[in-house]
Amino acid sequence: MLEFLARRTLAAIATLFVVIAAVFFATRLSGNAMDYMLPPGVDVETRQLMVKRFGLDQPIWVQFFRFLQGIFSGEWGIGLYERRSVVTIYAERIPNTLQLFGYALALSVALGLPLGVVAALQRKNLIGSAIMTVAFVGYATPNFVLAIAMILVFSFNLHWLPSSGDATSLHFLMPAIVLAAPMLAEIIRFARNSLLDVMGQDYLRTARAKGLPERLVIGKHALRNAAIPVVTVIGLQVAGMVARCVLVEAVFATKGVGDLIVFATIGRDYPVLQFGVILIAGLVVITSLVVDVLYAAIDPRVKVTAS
Amino acid sequence: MHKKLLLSLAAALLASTAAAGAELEVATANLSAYIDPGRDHSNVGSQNYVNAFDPLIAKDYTKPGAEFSPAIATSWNQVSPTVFEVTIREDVKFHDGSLVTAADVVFTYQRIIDAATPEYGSIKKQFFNNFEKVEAVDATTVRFTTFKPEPLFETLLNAQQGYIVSKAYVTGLSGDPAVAEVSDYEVFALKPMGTGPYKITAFQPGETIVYERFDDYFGDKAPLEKFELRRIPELATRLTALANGEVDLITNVPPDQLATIEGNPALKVEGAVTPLFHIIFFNTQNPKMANPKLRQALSMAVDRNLLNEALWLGKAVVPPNHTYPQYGELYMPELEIFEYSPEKAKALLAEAGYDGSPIRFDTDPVYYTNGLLAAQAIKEMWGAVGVPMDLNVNTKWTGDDADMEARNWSNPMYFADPAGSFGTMWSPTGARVTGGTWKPSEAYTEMWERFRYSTDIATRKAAYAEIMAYVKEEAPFLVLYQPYESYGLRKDVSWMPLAGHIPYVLDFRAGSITIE
Repeated sequence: MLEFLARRTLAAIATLFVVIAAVFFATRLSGNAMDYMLPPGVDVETRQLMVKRFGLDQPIWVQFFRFLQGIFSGEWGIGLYERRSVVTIYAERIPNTLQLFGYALALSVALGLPLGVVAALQRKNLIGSAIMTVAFVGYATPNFVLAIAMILVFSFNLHWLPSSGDATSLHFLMPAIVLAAPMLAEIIRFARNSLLDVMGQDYLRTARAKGLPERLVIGKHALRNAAIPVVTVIGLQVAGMVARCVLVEAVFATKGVGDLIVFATIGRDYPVLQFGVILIAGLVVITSLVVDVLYAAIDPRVKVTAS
Repeated sequence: MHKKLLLSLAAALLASTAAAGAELEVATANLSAYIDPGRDHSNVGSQNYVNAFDPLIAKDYTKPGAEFSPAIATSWNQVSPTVFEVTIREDVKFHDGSLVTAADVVFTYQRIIDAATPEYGSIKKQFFNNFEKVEAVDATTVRFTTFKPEPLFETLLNAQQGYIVSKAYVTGLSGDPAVAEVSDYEVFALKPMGTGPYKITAFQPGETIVYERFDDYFGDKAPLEKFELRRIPELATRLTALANGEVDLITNVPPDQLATIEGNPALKVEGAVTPLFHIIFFNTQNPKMANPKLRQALSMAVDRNLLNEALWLGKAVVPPNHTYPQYGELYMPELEIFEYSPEKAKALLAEAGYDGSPIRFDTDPVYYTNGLLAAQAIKEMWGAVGVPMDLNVNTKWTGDDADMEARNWSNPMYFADPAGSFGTMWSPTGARVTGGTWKPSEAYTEMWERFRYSTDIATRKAAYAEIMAYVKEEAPFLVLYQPYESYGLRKDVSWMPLAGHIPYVLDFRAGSITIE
């Protein structure tokens, strides 16, 4: 187990390095920050002075080396717009995004698993079909369409929910639903399919044959085995949720990491953007690791080894 | 009679009580990442300052012209052609309770004149290039020395960039409290403090600014107890937040959404023509665009009135030249330097020997309201006279690139004089000349010097007329229109943008806003 973790950690570091290099060069290829930061009309000399001040006049390899040096010494850089540490900037935003993630994850799992089970057990009647139709629509609807539609219905027309901001937990309800929708749909689909796969297995027939009640057959034998692919899907969806929160936070004006990344991308705020992408990459890598470890916990047949 | 009087008094008391506790939530499309009036001349920054800071010299912002009045300065006089002395009030307090002194005024201006950072240097070039030094004569008297006689002294001392900041507060923010360091200015931009009727009590860069009434303000007390500027970038969300009662006022409402707001019985629209021009300009130094006849033809092909009707519902203003009503006596609408004539455009293209090759036109997809739509319409208009446009939609600023051919831009009025709009962009030291896309003649420089530094209004008017005639021949740009900026607000909020301000100012001072 320890050897496995060590190898995976090394692989994660290598992945992060590739991400760091990619984001560093990609952001610089997309344009000069000063072309976006300074208002149109600022004279050329001032632009050049600002470029020099932030070290952007140095060869790109020198900039990259300095950036790596900064990472190893714990200096993640200063936001070009706010002129303060990117760690401080993100520290202000992370709680909102985590709150949003938490609600969305809880909503997806709490609703997705039981609905998936019901869809599997009731697959031949209207309930099963209805659940799968909702799941299909939820999966197929782009999140920005769902976000605007929800705002129109629940805020603009019914005045039930606040449309933007982060003042109370209620402000997170609509963004969490929008963020959760594709994940919920995916969990329902996978929970249903994987349960159907398992239900045809011999060991379930054996369980029934020895007289176990159906509740235990499903709850103890079927669900546990069906859970493995579902955990994989949840892991993948957490990564996808990070990407989706970029748009959801922008639409609902939730002051989170996603909104910050949009702002930094438009303004080519390299340090803020780099830190954000590294943060997301780190989260994805850690999630993958956690999913791998969870396999072992769920299925004793799976051995976590170095191979 | 007595009963009526009592009722009136009761109503007035109720109104004042309501106003005393009044709060306002404002949703803006954008919000600054920093707050420092001295280093900022951005459109988004203009929203932040007027409520929390004061200039030395105020003006009547309800009128477009220049009627100056005392603010922190009680009086000012010219002691020689290049020396002005300003006396300041003794009772003006910063939001930390300290009194404003001559040293603070000197510090405010000197950090710009000394170009303490590149941003201050940029402000110096655009506003205070003629200021040689600022000195404290005594605790309440400040002497300004200019290189040349300065006809715009009052105008410049009224500008946002000269809003007074505290020397002790700024220098004490980092490092050595006795020394002004670059880090001090950067911390100040995150923890701003001024003298205005509202103090900034919370600032999350790019997201929210909270203002609260400053009870020790030396002038008329603030009508609101508190207000907040909150960024909601998405238009649909902004509109919904207003309709849902989450905010009381929203900015940046495009013309096609006005009916949505007006259709709601609880809401209304206020707006005004902004002192800002949307323009298109040409890179005259690109060999492809070097012939002035080609540039004249491209300008003449554009039907500006049609753009106004189609994109702004006729609410924008199509100007005859680079002039604003805010210029007072220097407002000269009689100078017609732009003309729409597809026939003349075709003839000029033939004279210029234009070879029919496409001309690249650069535009940001969203930066200017209706910017992309206008570019698409202009593409059709150019096409109608036989010029294919290669429309290049890109967020990058290409205005200083050698291979740029044509692009859109804005020319805001930074202060109420042609020097504060045309000058910052098109004077011999303006952004287009230093940016390398226009190289006017030496005669033009002479015209400009005569215009900029003459203290005789007739001479200035005559020189500006000559400059406009030169621009007509050279055709380095075409002014499209002054956009109409609209705001959505609750019906019980009485507020509107004032004609005397620079673009996008949100003025919530006494007399500017009431809430029923």
